[in-house]
Amino acid sequence: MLDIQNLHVSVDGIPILKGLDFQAKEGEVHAIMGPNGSGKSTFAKVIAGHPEYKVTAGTVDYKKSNMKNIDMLGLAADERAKEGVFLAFQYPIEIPGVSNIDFLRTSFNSICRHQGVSEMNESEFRNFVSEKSKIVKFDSSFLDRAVNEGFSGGEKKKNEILQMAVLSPRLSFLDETDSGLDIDALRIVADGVNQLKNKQNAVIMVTHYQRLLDYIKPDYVHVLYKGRIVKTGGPELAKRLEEEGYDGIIAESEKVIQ
Amino acid sequence: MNFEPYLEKAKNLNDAASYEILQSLQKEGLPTRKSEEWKYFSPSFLEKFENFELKNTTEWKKSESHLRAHISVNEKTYSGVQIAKTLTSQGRESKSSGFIRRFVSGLSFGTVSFVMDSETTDLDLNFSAEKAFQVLGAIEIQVPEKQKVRVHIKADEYFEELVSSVFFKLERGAELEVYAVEVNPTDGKSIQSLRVDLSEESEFRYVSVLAGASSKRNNLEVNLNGSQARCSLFALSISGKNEKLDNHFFINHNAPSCESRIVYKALVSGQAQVVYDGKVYVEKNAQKTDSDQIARGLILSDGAELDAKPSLEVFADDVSATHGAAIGQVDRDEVFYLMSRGLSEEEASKLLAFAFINEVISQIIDKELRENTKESIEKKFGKWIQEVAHVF
Ligand SMILES: Nc1ncnc2c1ncn2[C@@H]1O[C@H](COP(=O)(O)OP(=O)(O)OP(=O)(O)O)[C@@H](O)[C@H]1O
Ligand SMILES: [Mg+2]
Repeated sequence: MLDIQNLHVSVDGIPILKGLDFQAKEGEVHAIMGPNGSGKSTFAKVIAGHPEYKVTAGTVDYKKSNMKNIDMLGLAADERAKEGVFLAFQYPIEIPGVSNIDFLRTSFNSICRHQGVSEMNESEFRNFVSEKSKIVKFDSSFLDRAVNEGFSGGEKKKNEILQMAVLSPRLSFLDETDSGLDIDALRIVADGVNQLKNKQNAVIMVTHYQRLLDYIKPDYVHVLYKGRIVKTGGPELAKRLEEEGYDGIIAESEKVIQ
Repeated sequence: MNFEPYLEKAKNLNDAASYEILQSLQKEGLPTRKSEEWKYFSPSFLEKFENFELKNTTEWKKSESHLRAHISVNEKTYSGVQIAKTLTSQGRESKSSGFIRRFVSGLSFGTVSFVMDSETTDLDLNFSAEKAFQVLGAIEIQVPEKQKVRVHIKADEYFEELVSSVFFKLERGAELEVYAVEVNPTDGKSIQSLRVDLSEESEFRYVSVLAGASSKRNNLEVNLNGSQARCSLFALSISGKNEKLDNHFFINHNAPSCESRIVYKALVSGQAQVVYDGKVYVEKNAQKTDSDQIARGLILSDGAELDAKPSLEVFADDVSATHGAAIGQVDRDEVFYLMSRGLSEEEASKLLAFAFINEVISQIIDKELRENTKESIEKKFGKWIQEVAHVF
């Protein structure tokens, strides 16, 4: 579904991703780990189409089942969203003045229009969202508040998962959705993601903690370091990182580079 | 400016009060741009009021609880209102609104002062001219104890120059709501001054939406003179082209346990120049004051200018007060966030601009006025917001 070859990305002329390769198929869950500043969020934003992150080399192909390849780099962020790409932000943005439900409906309907599915009116949508809110155990008061305004850190993360539930994306990139969550919230969010994943979609999760992977079982764990994937393994790789830290793996990979 | 002819007239009319005001105006002259208060907005157009035979004339129309005042240059008499003697000021007065009040009342030979009758709940103050002409109006209104009044202040139709001064005095427990909504103003120059003095437990709520004013000075002064008085001011400026909008808000905490809150927002594009000068003073005896002030601005083009100066001076020691300003361009990360949810760049920018102004518009309690305001802004500026969206 996603095939990335030799991706190079710069921000303000500073190279951040330096030859990243990555593949994901439908139905898979990938975990991406790596030290602070290694380029994980950059990777996420570039997939979602942030205009400030310039791709200087490489290809990103995206394919939905039974459809032809799409060159993702040719699409603006909103077009990618319409094709089923979703990013749960590490730091979700507050938008005072717009209610959560209006925002969700605008977003939902613009994606529906693109996909040729019929849009929902206000009351249909309210019912639909109220149902989805149960996934993250949100009561309806969150729907009428301004988007993320005054939400606690954990509530913002839950709100991202609510958006994911409403938009049912094909490819979800969750950037540290587990950070800042208490034990109960972590379980709620993880349960939510587990409910939303299926054979047709893929989930890529950036995390610093093995803990999340106890709840959401990854098929692959990748280590991103200095803008490249330096190691890929199964869930046992995350366990090893938890015990040993990054030093060993980084040293191994640097030997390979030299 | 030469006030001689007016002095002469005041003498002939035996109007001692006006004579005194005019004398002091003659002595101090018009303020110049050198003074801090008039740095951004030249008061020189006030000169134009010279040599005109003006009379502060007000026509009142009353239906049930609704009172309409038409303040214009036509000779009309007042009826249906009780004329009170001029309200006395109390406490510190800002230099600019004090000057404007005296200027208007001096040149129009008096101020219309009255006490609101107890049935009136709605009041429209319309400043208008029959021809493209100057308008000058000074009015003072006393709101009796516990009375709740809603007021719409509007500059109507067309005028070249308008200078007005409105002064409300709230008795104990009175509640005043003032709306100043101008979305389709004329091209004239105007200085509008509003002053509200509050007695204990009274409340003042102000919502202003000034969009597309070509050249305007907006003075607002609030004196919290009795304990537990409260005021909240929500103001939005939308300016583009070569428009100039100069806002001066001044809140005086003269008594203990009062609350004040200011939310100021500006959306500035083109070559427009917008000023927000917000001063909150907390006097020595005003303990347990609770005051917040925030000014936010969105600059939509390179040539646009916004000067926001929220300030706070506190002389009491037991006070909770904040003030701040945040000015910038539309945040690219916000646009990206919305786009990542499927909104096009244009939809995202438009939504953000509307979200920004909605914080003030949503404060209009009256649903009809709120929806009309939104609609006219959308009609007038929707396209414009889309056009400037490409700047981001
Ligand atoms: N807009 C930007 N301008 C300048 N530098 C940037 C920008 N965005 C990212 N960077 C730099 O790129 C590098 C990678 O940042 P990124 O946010 O992708 O790291 P990360 O792996 O997500 O880190 P963390 O684990 O702390 O979230 C960092 O050194 C960061 O400072
Ligand atoms: Mg990150």
